[in-house]
Formats: sequence, structure tokens, C-alpha cells
Amino acid sequence: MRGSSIRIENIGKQFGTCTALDNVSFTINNGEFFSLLGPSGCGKTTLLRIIAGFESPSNGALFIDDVNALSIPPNRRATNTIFQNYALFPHLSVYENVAFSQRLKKVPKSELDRKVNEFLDLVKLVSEKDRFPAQLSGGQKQRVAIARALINQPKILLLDEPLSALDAKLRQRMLIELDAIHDKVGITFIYVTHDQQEALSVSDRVAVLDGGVIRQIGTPVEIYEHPADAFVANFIGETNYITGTVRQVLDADHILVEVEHLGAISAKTKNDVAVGSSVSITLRPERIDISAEVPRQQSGHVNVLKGNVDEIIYSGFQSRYFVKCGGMIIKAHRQHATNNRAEETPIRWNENAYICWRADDGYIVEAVRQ
Amino acid sequence: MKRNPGPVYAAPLALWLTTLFAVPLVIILLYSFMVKGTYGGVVARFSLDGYRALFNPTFVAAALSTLLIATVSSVCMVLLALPAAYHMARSRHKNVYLLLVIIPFWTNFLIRIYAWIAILGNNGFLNMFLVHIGILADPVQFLYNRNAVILVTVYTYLPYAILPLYSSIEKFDGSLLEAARDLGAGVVQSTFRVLLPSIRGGIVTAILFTFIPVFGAYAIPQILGGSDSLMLGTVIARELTVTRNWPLAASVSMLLTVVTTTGVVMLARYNRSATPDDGKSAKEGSGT
Repeated sequence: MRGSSIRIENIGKQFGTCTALDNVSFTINNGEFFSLLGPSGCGKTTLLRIIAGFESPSNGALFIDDVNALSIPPNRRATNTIFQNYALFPHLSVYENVAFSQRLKKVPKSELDRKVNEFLDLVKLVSEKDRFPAQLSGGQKQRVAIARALINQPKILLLDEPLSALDAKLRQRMLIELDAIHDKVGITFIYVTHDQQEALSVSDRVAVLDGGVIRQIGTPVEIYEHPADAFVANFIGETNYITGTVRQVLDADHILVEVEHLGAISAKTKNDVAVGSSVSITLRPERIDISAEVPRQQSGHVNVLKGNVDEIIYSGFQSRYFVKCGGMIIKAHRQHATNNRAEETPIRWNENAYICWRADDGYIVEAVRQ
Repeated sequence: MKRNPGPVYAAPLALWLTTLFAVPLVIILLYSFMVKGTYGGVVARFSLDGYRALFNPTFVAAALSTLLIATVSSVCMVLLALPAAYHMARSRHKNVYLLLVIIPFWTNFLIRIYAWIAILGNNGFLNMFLVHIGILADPVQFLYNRNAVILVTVYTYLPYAILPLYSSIEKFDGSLLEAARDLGAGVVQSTFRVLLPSIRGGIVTAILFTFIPVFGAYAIPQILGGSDSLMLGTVIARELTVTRNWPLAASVSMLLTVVTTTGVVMLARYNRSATPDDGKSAKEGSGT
């Protein structure tokens, strides 16, 4: 690996009276594809700009490979940035854009030419090298920005919402390419995005930020399957959010929760929760099975609720059902391809249906008002 | 078929320019090739006397002096206007600054020139102040020389340099400077390699907007100039009103017109050759 590790210690940033970052601390490993994910205004771009050196924090310390980096100006840091709007130099050709950092370093002509062509080849743009940025498509501009940053051989590549200006299909393709480039160059990538799909699909680890605070850091699976709190659960993917009172502790990691108008449901918990306290359960729609008939008895802690189908949204590979149970709407997704249930009674709008899930899939995210 | 209403819209301006610009220009051109009348005016007979007189050492000196004053003033103005315009365009108080730049126009041009006499004259504020605090024993002659003309010219025409620079810097994407810094450029390198080339159009406009009026200046050298700062504008006025050699005045005018037009064409060409052609844009979406 030719990357660098980054240690962020207690970094805070105030803009006037507004707190953009509130004493954030974490470590990014050498060679990692690390995403900073959060809604706009959560502080993720500010953090990226602090790492790049465009912004200095109000307090805290930043270490790149265990060296204090805050006193190093951006032009001498081992970081390079892919800007949200690409920030290509409009007066320079593709070739000269990519060659920019090498010309500053006074790299000899023959080596410069070889390097520029090597990196143009990496992003498949050799044929466009004499064009100007205004003559390129969005995807091509993106590639120039990548080549221009990578030719400088940074140890850390900072990507500030790099795909937000591209259309959905191109975004998918660029994402796959970015992942391939990351594997190839082996340096640390720090990827800022508000799009949870992007973050989940390519990252080694994801940090979820909100209001200048880190809500959770983990692998995409950890964040999706075991959200640390209600914010993360809501922000990442779709979820059902059920609040109730603990009625009974069933065994070491299951409790029975009394939900108003809905009845008692069992759920999984990691921590000890006192009987009588309020808890929130998050339940992914795809973990809920839906059927028109009473589901067969299953072993273990299983919840079955009867409700009325309020809405069905057909979207090709799956259907999304909105089922009204005891005054609340529960979302359930069902894939079409995997379920060959032709003999089954179809689920119809405005008719009764049964939803069913294993208690282990209902996850306690926070205990409110202890 | 769609009708193009362009000519209709352009008609009023075309009429205006034809009657008040093109026709007078032709008249001046014709006069420059005629013989001078005894009491002013011209005699309608072909002659090159007007142009022959241009090679008279006095006129050559005036032409060179004009070129020098216009060039030095124009360069000074662009150099002064660049940082000012940059600060204005990046400031949160843009509109206040714009107002401040425009406010001098509210006072009459001549009054502002005479105000400089009150400041720089032998009994002016500056001399009185310098004598008072003991830097000077006696007042110094600040006025009636080339430096005074350049100083007041720069003062007068500075807004014409600031405004085009301001508008091009305001459109300039500041993240390009961050990108340059990110790629290893220092502050000076990012200014010369990214900022200045990107606002080249504004710089060219600022040069044109200052050089052309200064090249034809009349009032400032007339009021504040001396023997070392004779300018072509002053020559034209003298030939027209005092010496009454209209063909000569017309030929000097033609010289001014040719020089400024050539300058405009050359700079416009330079500017166009440096701007990438957007016409052949790639089709969006064809990523690979």
C-alpha cells in the first residue's frame, strides 16, 4: 500500500456562531476507501476541506501518518482533491490540466509526456487530450479531474461528492470505475457523499455524520444491519420505526414491547433494558414477509400482525406494500423473482394481509426516556 | 419559415451610427486629403500636406509622448485595478464597493481635474502640508509635467479598468484557485497560472477601455500638462482653433483612429485565439 493513515483528534469548527464540526475523533486506515456520509450541512465537506488544508479547524489536531498536518499548506500536503464541480482549468487542454502539477514540479519533458499519457490511459481519455474542458461531457470531465489528482501521486485522494453532477446511470458506472481505480492505486480514498447507496456500495467503512457529530462508524453491513441510533436507521435505507414500552424480558437478548394500538411484539436487544422503559425498534421493510393468508407457524420469536393493505407500489423487481396495522403504516418489500408463489392468494389493495417477521430483525436502536 | 427580426431591432442604432459616426468619419477622412483654407476650413483640392506635416519633429514627439502616457497610464490602471477588483468581487459588500467606484462620476470631470490643481499646485494642500511638517523647505512644482498628467489620468480612468476586471473576476470560479493550490501551486503560481489566464478577457477589456480614451485625451494634458506632455488631442485642438490648419487636424485624427482601431483588432484577436472554442462540444453522456 502506498497510502497514508489519518488520525483526527477532537476536531471542531465554528463558522461564527454556527458549529460545523463538534469535536470529531476517528482514524482512517492506510489504503481504506472511507466514506463520510450525511445530509447536507452535516459537516462532511468541512471535514474534507480541513483534511485538504483549505480550512483550518477551530480546535483539535490532524495527523497524516502520525505527523501533525495542520501546519502544512494544501500545496504541500500528501492529499489531492476531486472537487464537486471538477474545477478543471478552462484555459488549459485536457493534457495540460493533467500535466499541471508536473509542470510545477519541473518534471523533464519526456517523463512528463510519459506520465500524462499513463494517467490519461488510466481514465481512458488519451484520445481527448487536446480538447478543452468546455468540450467534454460530465463523465469525461470527471475522469480528467481524477487523472489530474492521481498524477500527483497523492497518498490520500479526497473526493467531494464527485458524482453528484452526473446522471444516475453514469454515476453507477463511474462508481464502479472509482472502485477499480482504488484497487489499482491502493491509496487511501476519502469519499464525501449524501447518497447512502454510493457510500454503502464501495466503502470499506462509512462514517455517518449529522449536525457536526459522528453518529456511527462501521462497515456498510454494520451500519445497515445494526444502526447505532434512530438517525442512522432512518438515514440509511428505508425503515419502519416502532416506539413502545418494554413489558417483559423474554430471554438474554429478546424483549417484549407493548406498542399502542398494535399489541405486543418481540424484538432483539444487545443492552439490558428495564421493564417499563420506552424503546424504539427499527425494522427493515425487506425483512417483513407479507401474505394474504395466515402464515405458517415458525419456531423462535416471530411477530405476526394482521392489517389492511393501504397502498401497493409496483416497481418491477419488487413491490412495496404499505400495511395499516393498528393506526400505523408498516412498510414491507417483497422481491418478485425470489418468490414463486403462484398458487398463493394474491395480495390486493384494501384487503386484509398478514405481515410477519422474526424478532431478531427488529432492532432496538435507542431507549428513550428511561 | 422563421423570420429574423434582427435588422429591424438594429435599425435605430444603425441609423444613429451612420449619421453621427460613419458620415463624420468620412468627412474627416476627406478633409485630411485637402488643402487648408486661409481662415480655417478647407479648399476642395487633393493634397497630402496634412499627412506630410505628421513627419514634422514636433508631431512625432507629440505622438510618442501620447503613446508613452497612454501606455504607462493604462498599465498602472490595470495593475492598481486588479487587486481592487479581486477584493471587491470576493467581498460580501460588493454593492457598496461598486457604488464607491461610481461615485466620482457624480462630480463633473473638469471640476475633478481642477481639484487636483488645488491639491498639487504650488500653493496646494500637498505642498503646504509637506512644507508645514518640514519635509520640504520650499514648495515643489508638481503640476504641468508628464507625471501630473499620468497621475490624474490614472485617477480619472481607473473605474474603467476596475469595472471590467470586477465583472470577470466575479464570474471566476474560486475553486480553481483551490484546485491549483491542491495540485502544488503556491499563491503566486496559482495567480499567474490560473487566475490571470482565466480573466484574460477582463484584462484585455480593461486595457482597451483605458488606453483608447487616454490616447485621445485632451482636457487633462491641456490643463495639467507641460512641454513634456504634449498629446495628440491637444495638437488637434490647437490646429483646429489656433493655427487653423484643418487638414492637419484631420490627418492627426485619422492617425488616432488608425492606431486605436489597430489596437482593438489586435487585442480582440489575441483574446479570441486564447479562448477555447465551445462550438464543437462533445455530446453529453458519451462517457467513454
